[in-house]
Amino acid sequence: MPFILSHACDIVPVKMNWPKKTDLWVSKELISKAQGEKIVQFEMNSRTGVSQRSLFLLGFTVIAIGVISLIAANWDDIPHWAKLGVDFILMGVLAWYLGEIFKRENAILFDGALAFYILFILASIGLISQIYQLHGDLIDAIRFWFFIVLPISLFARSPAVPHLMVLSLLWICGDWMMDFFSLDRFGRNGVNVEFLFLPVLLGVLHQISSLVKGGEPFQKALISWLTALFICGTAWGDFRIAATRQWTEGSLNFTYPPFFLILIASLVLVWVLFLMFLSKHSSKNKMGILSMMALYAIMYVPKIQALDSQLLGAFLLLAGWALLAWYFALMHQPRLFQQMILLIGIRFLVIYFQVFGTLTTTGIGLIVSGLLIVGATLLWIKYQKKIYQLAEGKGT
Amino acid sequence: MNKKILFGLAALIPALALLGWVGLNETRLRSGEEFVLPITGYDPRDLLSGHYLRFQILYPSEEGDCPAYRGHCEYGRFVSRANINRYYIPEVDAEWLDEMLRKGERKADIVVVISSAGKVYLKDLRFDGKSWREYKP
Repeated sequence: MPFILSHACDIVPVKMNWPKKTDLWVSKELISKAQGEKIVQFEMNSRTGVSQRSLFLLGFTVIAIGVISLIAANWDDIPHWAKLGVDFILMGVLAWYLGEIFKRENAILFDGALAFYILFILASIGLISQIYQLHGDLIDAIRFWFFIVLPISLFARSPAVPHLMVLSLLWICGDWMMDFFSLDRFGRNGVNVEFLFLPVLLGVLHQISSLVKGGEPFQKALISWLTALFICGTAWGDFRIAATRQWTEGSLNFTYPPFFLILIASLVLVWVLFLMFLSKHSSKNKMGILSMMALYAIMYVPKIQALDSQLLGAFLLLAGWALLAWYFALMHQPRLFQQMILLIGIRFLVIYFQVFGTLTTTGIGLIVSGLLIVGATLLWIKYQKKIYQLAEGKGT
Repeated sequence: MNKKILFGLAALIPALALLGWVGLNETRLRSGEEFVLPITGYDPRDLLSGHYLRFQILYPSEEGDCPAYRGHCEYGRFVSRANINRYYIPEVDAEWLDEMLRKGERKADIVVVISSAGKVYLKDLRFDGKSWREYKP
């Protein structure tokens, strides 16, 4: 047992106490004292950077929300021309300030100011809508805002602003899809269309951003949202395949609109062509991505979704998540690899509950469940390093 | 092109777009034709733009009386595409205005301006033919 626990943090030490850890390494003569001090200094600096960035962004965001609230309070005593004048003067000052700090290397300050500027633009749209009594939905304002701030957001130096932009894009495109095909966004078929279209769109954009010099912040944001969509999309696919006809209220006979299929096929073709001929990924990585795409597509075939099979749904989901875990290992992302394995473990547990049903709520059932969890955890702790190395392709 | 110039252009795009939008709204508002429409209503809250009064327009019941903006007459009832159903008001005036509109003791109407392109702008909210501002407590 002590051996197993001592290896528990072999792959990913979460929240490491660096001074304590380096002292241990120095005492074991793994590193020199000078090296230990340098490691501690480096880690402390990098942590300060992250916390500074977060605080700056938080501060600027709170200010921007404050500006939006003030505008929302709508002072009627101030003439419209004065409100608009002050708004545009402030906007000009902010744009000038952004230009000034653009020359400097301080990424934290620049990204904080950039976030503030683009949120200020959103507040200005609210102000103009209010002054001219314009009657649009929030999504109309977001759409207009997205397109006018997109060029400047491309200059972001960290993924914070790109995350905001990608989230807005998902909202805009999802809304457009529902309107275009007259689907209910919260209905089962609407969700199906969203989960097919949005990941493919992000996949194509991710490939394009990987070819652009300086596109790393957007690349990081896109891949994060793509991963989240893949995880949620496979979970939804699993639910759809497993759902009984009674549960889905007869909507199993759903077919996709022909234009939607053409659109998806074209985007997938572009994605695959980019991946095969322009991507810098290794052949193993490409194989992993293509396998995930194929598996995901299978989960969204209407006839597969009409099979009403819990086993098939779970199998496809687990296969998809295992492929994603493998992809993370190939990309040398041990933390994400571990998180995927944890999700896979949870899904296995759900299968156990699905198979044994109400039996698991009895005393014996609960004891067996607990033993299974403890056993699986111990096995994972013992073999995680080997499994990770195997997935990375370094194992023997 | 120089990266700094590109950045400068990108920073100016939002400001120019908003200026253009203000100019367009101002021109349409000044050149359009005014109409008065009776209303009835209630008050919710909007996330982006603060308080507004939500109302329903009491469109003319006889065919031929429909104002000339986007929409059509159906069985003598006007079916609007403009979707005018709210009037933004200051937060401090929300309560008494809401009450006034709910009670219906004074005849409420809205003044709209319709541009030549059919775009509808809400110009004023009135009670008994006078702007709501004249009733401020």
